[in-house]
Amino acid sequence: MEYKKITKDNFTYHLIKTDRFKEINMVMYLTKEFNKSDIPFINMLIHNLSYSSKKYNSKDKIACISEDLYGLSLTSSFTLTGSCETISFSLEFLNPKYTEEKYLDLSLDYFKEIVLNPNVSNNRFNPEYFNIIKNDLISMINSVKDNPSKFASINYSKLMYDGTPSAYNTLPNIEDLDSVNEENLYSFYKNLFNNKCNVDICILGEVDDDIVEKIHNRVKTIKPTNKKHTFTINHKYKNKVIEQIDALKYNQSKLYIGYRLNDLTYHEKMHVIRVYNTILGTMNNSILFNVVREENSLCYSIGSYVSIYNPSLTIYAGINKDNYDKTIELIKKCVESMSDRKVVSDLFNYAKKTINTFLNNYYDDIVAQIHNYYVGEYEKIEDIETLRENTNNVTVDEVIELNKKISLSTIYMLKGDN
Amino acid sequence: MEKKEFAKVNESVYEYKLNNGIDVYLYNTQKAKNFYISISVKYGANITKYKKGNNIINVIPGSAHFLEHKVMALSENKQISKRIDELGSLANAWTNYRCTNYNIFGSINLKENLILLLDIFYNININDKTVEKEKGIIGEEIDMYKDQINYYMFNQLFNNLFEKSYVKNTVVGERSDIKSITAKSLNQIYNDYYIPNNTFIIICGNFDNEEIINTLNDYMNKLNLKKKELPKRIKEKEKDTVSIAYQEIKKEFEDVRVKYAVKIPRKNFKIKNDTILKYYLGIILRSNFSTSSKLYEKYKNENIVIDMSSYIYIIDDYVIIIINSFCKDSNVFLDNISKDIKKINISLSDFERKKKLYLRSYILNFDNIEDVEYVICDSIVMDNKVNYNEYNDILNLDYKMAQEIIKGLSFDNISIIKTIK
Repeated sequence: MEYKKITKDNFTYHLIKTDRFKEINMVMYLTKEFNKSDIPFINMLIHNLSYSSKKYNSKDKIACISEDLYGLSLTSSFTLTGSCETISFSLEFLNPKYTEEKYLDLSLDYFKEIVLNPNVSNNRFNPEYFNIIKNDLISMINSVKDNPSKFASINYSKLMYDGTPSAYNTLPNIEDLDSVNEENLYSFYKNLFNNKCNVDICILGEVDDDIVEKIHNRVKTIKPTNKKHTFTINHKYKNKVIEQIDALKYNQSKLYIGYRLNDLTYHEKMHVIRVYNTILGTMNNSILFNVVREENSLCYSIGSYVSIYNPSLTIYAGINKDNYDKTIELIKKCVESMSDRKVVSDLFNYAKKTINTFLNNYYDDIVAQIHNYYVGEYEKIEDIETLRENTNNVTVDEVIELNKKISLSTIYMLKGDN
Repeated sequence: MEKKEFAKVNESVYEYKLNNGIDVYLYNTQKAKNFYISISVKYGANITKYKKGNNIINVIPGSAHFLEHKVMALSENKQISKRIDELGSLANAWTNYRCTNYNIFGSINLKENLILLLDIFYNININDKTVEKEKGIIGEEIDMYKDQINYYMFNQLFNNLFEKSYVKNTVVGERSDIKSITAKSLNQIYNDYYIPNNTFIIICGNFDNEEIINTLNDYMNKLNLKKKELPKRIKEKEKDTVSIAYQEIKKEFEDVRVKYAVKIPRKNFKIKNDTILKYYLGIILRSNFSTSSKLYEKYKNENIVIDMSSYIYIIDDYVIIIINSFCKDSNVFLDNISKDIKKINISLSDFERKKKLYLRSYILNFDNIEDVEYVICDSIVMDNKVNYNEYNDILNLDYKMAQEIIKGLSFDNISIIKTIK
């Protein structure tokens, strides 16, 4: 694998040359500071762009062209990363050596057509499709409640990260969609590409250097800003523990427990918490898995994850509502046990080995590699081998010490009341 | 050991049969730092009754999946579990209607991981105490799936389409089913189906073929498993008609989910190979109901659907086609789809364009070792062999045959399921 970073007209190109994969991936990231009023606009925008374009002016035409290009896929997404919002357009197509050479240019033309030639006339998006997409979005918003895991996770984030961008869902409120119309959406689109966003373009695959020029010629009408952002949020959590239970007609209850991570050093945030979290909730015999699931049969799924940019640790479990108190008590004990030298020592070396296996997987994971180079533009990160070395240098004492910097913040249950 | 080449992609697998009859598939690649190994048994939730000698054995629904939990009982086998942890590996398992698969993903010492996986598979200790304990965990798993509306509706729909088929039961079973499962019932299934001639091993990663085969031979020689006769699966005779034609599910959902299913006798289609038939039907359905179809465009423009998709299943002697819709008004959708489904057709250009999707999917299967393992496993379970010529099979799909297949579609047996407020 060979990596090159190329900057041109404020665009940042990340060229990751590798013959490891049989497809070529290109992701354009537009990054700007979070603004909650952007949420309905971005949602409407990314769906309008992928629904039709000027040249392919209907859904079926767009779909037919992508099939003709051997099932090329162009997806757009909207994510909140710490203090920033990111719009990404991700293009995946077969390495032309499996099809024909012309498919490289045709695929890049398709990208340009969808992203930069919207179905607009008289400075407004096509009204017919605009309304279809608005109705689709309303249905999408309403259907969040139909998925208990998603619904619970959104409600938990609102409580846990109150007052920060992480408290927001990337889907808008239905009433906020009324602020968007065909005209102001087009203005938003034009503004977005005019000195508002950092633009990173990552290309991964068996490609020549000249691909950067080919892409740049197609996207250079975009004017990226050179103002740099960072993702980290300095969130002051409330000291009081927030506890909330909602109820809906599901069979299973979803429990979320949030711990704040207080004043972590860089080493703790990047390396020690990785080992801590693996022991607590991600490895085969994690403490949570063993105590809550295997010893007490209280759940099927249980685990934990860490949010780096809004420093926190979340534990989730699918439980029976009648086991609420018992599960919370056991989870709290599991977290407390992370101060117990014997408990941590027993799993410590195994956790590092598990992390090494996960890190190896980075080389097989296109999305992870692309994302890593993108994040590196905004935050201090390490290449995967440095990360491995620094993680392997973590000590038992550091893991135990880190447990002093963790405090309970939020308990949320979406009670299955069927 | 025989080397087999996959067409077009410059990838190969070595096939080897152990003395006891277990088939081994070695996918040797330098592109991955990790390895993925699995041992599978061609036993899943589709076996509801079987004959062994003169005995007829009824299988409690959910047994295959329950047995998977008890074979992969790492918390009860501390020694194996500890060693897997020491190696930094991740062990997992899954069950479907046709197969149960046990696997390890790791990066250190493939050979030892392989032995650990075999130890998990062969050194079982299923007793009533641990079976009872597992019921709480599996009960939560059952509840979790029931809250997934599409999964739940598909299960209800399969129940309605058939009178006696195995698909009337979910793979995990119901809480009421698993109550009756015992250590004795699980041990019996294990002894009857977890036998060499019903088992296969897949190894994907960077390794020495000879060393792996020697390791397997040594292990199996010590184990000294005898070939056994595979019990005969008893398949209930099914009627061509659907069991229940219409069902409403009450949910507090704003919009409606509808599934419109057609049950067609398998014998309507000349093609014998299920995988090839599914290719043809997939192309035909995508041409008529996916986002690239004129019908999808019409339904969107007329606000008939929010989204629509199609599915194909071949279940014993029947082909099931399902048109899945998320919409505002189920009656409007049903009025339209009941007429439009009878107008299924395909143009040559649509047919050739859709073939490209399958070609892409075939090529990309080789981008990671877990996908390669799954493709090999699925081929063996479905066709009893790996298809190394899949690329050419797709290229050779014939437009005239697609038209013949359309003639075999019949729409007399319909079952509908939808949500209501």
